[in-house]
Amino acid sequence: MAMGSKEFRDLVMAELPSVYRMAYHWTLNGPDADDLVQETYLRALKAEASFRLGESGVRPWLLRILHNAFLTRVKRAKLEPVATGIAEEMAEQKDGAGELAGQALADLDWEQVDERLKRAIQDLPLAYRTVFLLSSIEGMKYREIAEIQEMPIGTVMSRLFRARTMLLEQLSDLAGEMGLHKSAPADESGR
Amino acid sequence: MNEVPSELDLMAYADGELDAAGQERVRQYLATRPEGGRKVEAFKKLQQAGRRVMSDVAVPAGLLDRIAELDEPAPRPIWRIGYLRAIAAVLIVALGTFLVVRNAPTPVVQGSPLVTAQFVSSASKVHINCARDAEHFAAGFPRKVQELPGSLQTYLGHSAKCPDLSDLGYRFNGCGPCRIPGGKTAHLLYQSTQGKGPISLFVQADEGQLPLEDHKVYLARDAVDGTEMIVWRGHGVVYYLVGENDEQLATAAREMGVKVRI
Repeated sequence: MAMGSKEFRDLVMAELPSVYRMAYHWTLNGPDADDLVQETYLRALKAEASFRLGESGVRPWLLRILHNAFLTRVKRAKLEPVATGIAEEMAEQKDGAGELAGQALADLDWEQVDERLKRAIQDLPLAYRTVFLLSSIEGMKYREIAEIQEMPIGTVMSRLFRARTMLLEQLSDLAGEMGLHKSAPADESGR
Repeated sequence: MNEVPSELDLMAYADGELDAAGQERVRQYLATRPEGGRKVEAFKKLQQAGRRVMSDVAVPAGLLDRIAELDEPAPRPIWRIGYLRAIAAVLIVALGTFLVVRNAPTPVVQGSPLVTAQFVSSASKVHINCARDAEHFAAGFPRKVQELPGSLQTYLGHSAKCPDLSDLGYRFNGCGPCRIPGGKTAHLLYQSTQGKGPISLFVQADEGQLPLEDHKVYLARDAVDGTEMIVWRGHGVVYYLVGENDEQLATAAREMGVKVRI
């Protein structure tokens, strides 16, 4: 769908909070995120003519530009290695880990795990952190995440599953350490 | 049910990503497997908790203004050949000079005073603004890149190479007259079909506007916006390839028969 420059500009500017949020969580650093977002918008404004508005809107397109710009920086700075094929295989093989975590966390009081969860997300390897954030915070569908990262949907799913398994394991440990489970009705009536 | 859903199926179910048949299959499984239901619930809770703890990131004050400034119209070009030469002597920002080779790559010679920051910045702005101006490319040049060399012969007085970059994922968008430092210029624009930034190829008659050596390619970068430029001369014309990725530009140059090693 064709659109005018002002309409395009309004559309991309409306996504600034989302773009900045992802930049911040990827870089884990305010000034770097600021810089990365400016680079992203510069690239986006240059590439206006190539944008076609589809049903997903402009956000996946912008986030793909952001992701490419970020990866270029990572590559140049060698900040953090991305997941390898071996890591993907490990993700597939560890399917059973979710079972333990899922059961242990069934009645966890999620309101009390915020800080621990935040740290755990930030500690995820970049490849896993990326898919988790796109899915959880931005609410992206698997197909959109695959487009943003230019990878097959199967890889998105295995990375997302691995990310969640790692997080659930950490939260499960926390639940065990601190007894962060909701009080059962029987306990309340017994007071 | 015939098939036990995998862990990935349960995750996809929690995310609402399964089709109707897949959902029904998982529902049947969960009806008899409460542990599966707990797992699905954990996936959903984790998703919600992740959103809750990671969403409170505010856009810094001033960022919106800085981005708005990115899109301001470029100043009118004021370049003249003499001026260009004068500043070339003092504004040295070229990142490297790459020896071009007709047969085999040769070592890189670092540091060139030939391509200035202002030159690259000017070309970068033209590159951006022209890419957004459809009328720029409605000036009578052929719309097919294969038909362009004859028109450029007439316009520039020299024949020039006009690459088809479709194999690299760039669609030829058109050619228009342009003004970058150095005189009459033809601007060929290629838009990415894969969401990347555009590539511009500026072609000028070679009137000695830059003291480029034969068989050398020059690479420069706009330090502000990161725009890359590859410059070389050949057969009476000067070519300027402008884009945001030096590797893509090098590949485009190779399509034109110029061997560049980056």
